[in-house]
Amino acid sequence: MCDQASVEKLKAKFSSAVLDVVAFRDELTVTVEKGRIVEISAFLKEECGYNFLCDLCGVDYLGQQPRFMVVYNLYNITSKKRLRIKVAVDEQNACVDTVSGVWATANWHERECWDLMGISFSNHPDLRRILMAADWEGHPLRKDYPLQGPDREPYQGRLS
Amino acid sequence: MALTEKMTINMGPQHPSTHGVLQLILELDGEVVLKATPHIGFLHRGTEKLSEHRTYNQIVPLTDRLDYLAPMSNNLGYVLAVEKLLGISDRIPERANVIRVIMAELTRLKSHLVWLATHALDIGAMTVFLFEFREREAITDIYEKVSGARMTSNYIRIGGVTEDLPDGLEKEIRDFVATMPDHIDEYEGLLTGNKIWQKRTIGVGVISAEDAIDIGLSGPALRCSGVDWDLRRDAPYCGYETYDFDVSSRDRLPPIVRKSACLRSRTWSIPSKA
Repeated sequence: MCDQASVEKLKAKFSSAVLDVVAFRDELTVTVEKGRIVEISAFLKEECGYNFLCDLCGVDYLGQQPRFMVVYNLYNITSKKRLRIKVAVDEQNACVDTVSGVWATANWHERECWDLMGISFSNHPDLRRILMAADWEGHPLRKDYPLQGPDREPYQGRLS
Repeated sequence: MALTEKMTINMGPQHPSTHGVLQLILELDGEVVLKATPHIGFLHRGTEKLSEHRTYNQIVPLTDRLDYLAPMSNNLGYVLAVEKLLGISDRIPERANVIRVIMAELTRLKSHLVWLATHALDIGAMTVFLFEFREREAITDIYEKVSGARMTSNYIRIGGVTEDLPDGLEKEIRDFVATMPDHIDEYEGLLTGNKIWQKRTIGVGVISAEDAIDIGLSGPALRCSGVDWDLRRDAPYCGYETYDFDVSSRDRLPPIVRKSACLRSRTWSIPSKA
């Protein structure tokens, strides 16, 4: 469900931070500036009612600048509307402010993003690996990390 | 004079009660858990990474194995996303949509039966476990007739389902559904009024509605924390808006009534399959 009203409110309040708005298949995606994500998240939660963070994930666009995107999928339980916020993250400065103060569930999602993608979150209460072993090296979900793992030869057979 | 101290115990990844690999470091005072630190990742099989090297249809069998108690639901979730991206969500055949709904509800029953069975088993009520797995066998037979496999069905595909229901399956499903309300009464009879069950579950692990939303609970756990929310009603897919069903949710329930609410929510899934 499209929530044009909230996006207008967002653009009115944070006009310089809202970089792009895309509507595709009835869903709105707003790209915002990395530096103001906490303010924007708090605004969306308090003023626009997006109290449920469905998912927070990182995307690796290897070969593009900026290399990473952090995607926040938000849901408004009362009005049943969805919104997607994206934040571009450089490879050299792969760091975003944590939103775990806004939505508690972001704590583990950001840990997963750090573990698998290598995007760190500043002011995070407990940023450590969540899925991989604590002493693992590397960030497995990055596109340049081998599928078969660091210590094996690639699979030589057919996939189908 | 009793000497007491807190104990830190490892409830290791392999444990009969963790039902799948989950490690909990428990700080105990007697039998009361003061703090539980979960260590997860043992069941992480790299589905996202594998999916990057497969075509859209090749990923469907991978989704079967995500929540292996509800394989067709996983298929459905993934397939709906792909269909939305392709823009063909409104061109799925109506019969395929109805089959999807039937299979999704049977899968829901399948998964919830395991939930309650293992919950009761951990508390000590072993009969419930056996009774529910007996019901589950009926659903597994339906799975096998429809898709060829008892668990990893790979049945719901992009654009519809693999093939139509075999002859006679509709009658089998109707017969099974007709027997379910009596079975649910059986489980209620074994558990709800049971003093041991009540002592083990009332007041244990209560989560408030605000907390549930903040920590990102969804599905039956969110409903039983008192939030009136059901994805089938609030963001309908596969034609759910044309079905008539109740969503059970009550205010601030302790787990015992939480269980009843979930049981009742399963009975609602039955009448909707008209």
